[in-house]
Amino acid sequence: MNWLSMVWAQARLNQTVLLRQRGMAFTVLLLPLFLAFVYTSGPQSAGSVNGVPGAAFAAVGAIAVVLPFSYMTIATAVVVRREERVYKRLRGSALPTSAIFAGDIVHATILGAVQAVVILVYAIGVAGAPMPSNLPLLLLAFLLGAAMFAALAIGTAGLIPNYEVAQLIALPVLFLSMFGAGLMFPVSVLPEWGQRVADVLPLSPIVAMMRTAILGRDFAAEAAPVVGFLESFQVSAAAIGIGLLWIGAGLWFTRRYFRWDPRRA
Amino acid sequence: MNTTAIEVRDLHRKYGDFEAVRGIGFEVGRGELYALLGTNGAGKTTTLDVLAGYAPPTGGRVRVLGHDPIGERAQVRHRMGIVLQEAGFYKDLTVAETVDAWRRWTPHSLDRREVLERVGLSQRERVRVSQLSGGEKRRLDLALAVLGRPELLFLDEPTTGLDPEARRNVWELIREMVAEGTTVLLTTHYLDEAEQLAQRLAIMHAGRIVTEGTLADVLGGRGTRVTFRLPGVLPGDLPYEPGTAGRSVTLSGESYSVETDRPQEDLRILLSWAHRHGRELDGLEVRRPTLEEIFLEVAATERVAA
Ligand SMILES: Nc1ncnc2c1ncn2[C@@H]1O[C@H](COP(=O)(O)OP(=O)(O)O)[C@@H](O)[C@H]1O
Ligand SMILES: [Mg+2]
Repeated sequence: MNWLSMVWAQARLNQTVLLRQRGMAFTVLLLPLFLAFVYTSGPQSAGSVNGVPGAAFAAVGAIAVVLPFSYMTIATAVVVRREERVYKRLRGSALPTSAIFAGDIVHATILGAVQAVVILVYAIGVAGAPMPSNLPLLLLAFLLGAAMFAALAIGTAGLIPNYEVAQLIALPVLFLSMFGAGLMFPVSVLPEWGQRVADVLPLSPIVAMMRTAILGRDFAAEAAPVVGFLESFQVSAAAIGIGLLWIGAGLWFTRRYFRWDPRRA
Repeated sequence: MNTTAIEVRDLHRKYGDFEAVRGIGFEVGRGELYALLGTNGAGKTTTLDVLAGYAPPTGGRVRVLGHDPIGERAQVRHRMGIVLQEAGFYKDLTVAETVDAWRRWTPHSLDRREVLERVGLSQRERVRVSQLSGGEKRRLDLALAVLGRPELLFLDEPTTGLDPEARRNVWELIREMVAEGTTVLLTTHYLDEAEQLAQRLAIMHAGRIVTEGTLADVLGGRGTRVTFRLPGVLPGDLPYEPGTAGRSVTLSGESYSVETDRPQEDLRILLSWAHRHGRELDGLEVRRPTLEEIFLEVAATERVAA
């Protein structure tokens, strides 16, 4: 009975439990796909951005939308198990606590990965996006984003009193992420300071990295010049830095606010 | 091999400024069933939480199977089973799904049929946990706790809220575990439960152990009570010699209470006297002292001694 098999058991259990909660399952399993579809057929998809077809540009951004849904999956799972005292039971079993966290993260990340692949295939097949020009960077962007939203979900769960609030909180997280990443409207319509704020919101660096990884261009620079393999890592350095800062914030919140018990000791 | 399963020395545990456990100590030998008795708020769950490794002591030390339950958790985690006073299940899973899930991370687990048979839930495999009755949930609690063949079982009020039949079933199960050599630490606020199951027990009150030992030790000097109503009969008319050791008679209103160390003998005397005089003993009752009576007495004698 090694640690990995315990983690896998937790991840499987999370999935079974999720499928039993119809409303929640519908939201986190299908809504990201639906959003991606709507988004790539909306007004933004007309025309082109620096020579990239609008639909392709939008579809690439839509891949990142699965991440705030991971936040919702993890945060509600943490809150429900804490409030219903399932955590207390789990921690009294042979399970190490690290396997509980890891199971949550693995579960949400696999879900997100499957959704991301579906959207990517759709982006390439239907929306006219090219094959990713830098697959390792794309993978890095996804894993960084998954780690970031998992850390934020576990970190903020301590401040969320119950299931209903957990679902409410997930909405502004989703909207802020989409807004910051320019998925609701182009960030360029914002004043200068608004653009700076949008740049450092959690999803923004991930979307920027994904665009660079798939479309092979640096959209942060004037006229979005084409970048080579190594160069695309270089131009993503700032985004990686912002991502790491958010992970740090999530870990700090976890240390400060996480609790296993409904009562504050 | 070490013969002590649990060792508690001068244990303190605070919640903020409030001290829920105020310096208690006891030992439980391997294979023993030890009961912690106390009313609500006595500090039983807090004590168990420390022993099970949920929370560190704020003073003193505990050893469980020879280890620190938090610092050396990996050494004890899989060797103990816990029935919490209050813990949730995944409500939407069935009984079978719940046990199967737990089996995936429990080393050397019993198989599902075996464990459900043991707790008498075999017929309820396909039922969702949210549909189970209170007694059935308690049995599922027990099933998960014994799944990994633990050496040590913590049971926090395992029969509170159960109907009498369900209680007896749970007792039977606990006896089986003890017969197989499992060490059990049980908390309860029922004296009869401790009487039924425990070899030794401690009575906790307001964070302290007020008395500890075998049942005989704890009940020592506290006799059985025979109570009845006899309007118009004076204490001197009763067939009891005044001032006999091991018996005291008190009268309040029309109600007599005879506290005695020889209940069978004194009851026989009383009944034949009533028969001879054609008296009816109204509301006749014979009972052991309740937990409340015992520790109110103990607390009172302690205050006098202090
Ligand atoms: N998490 C907590 N925070 C603050 N006080 C608590 C907490 N848990 C228990 N208490 C208090 O500690 C005392 C002992 O509680 P507990 O150990 O649950 O007693 P018992 O199990 O004997 O009923 C009670 O007064 C209770 O209100
Ligand atoms: Mg309790």
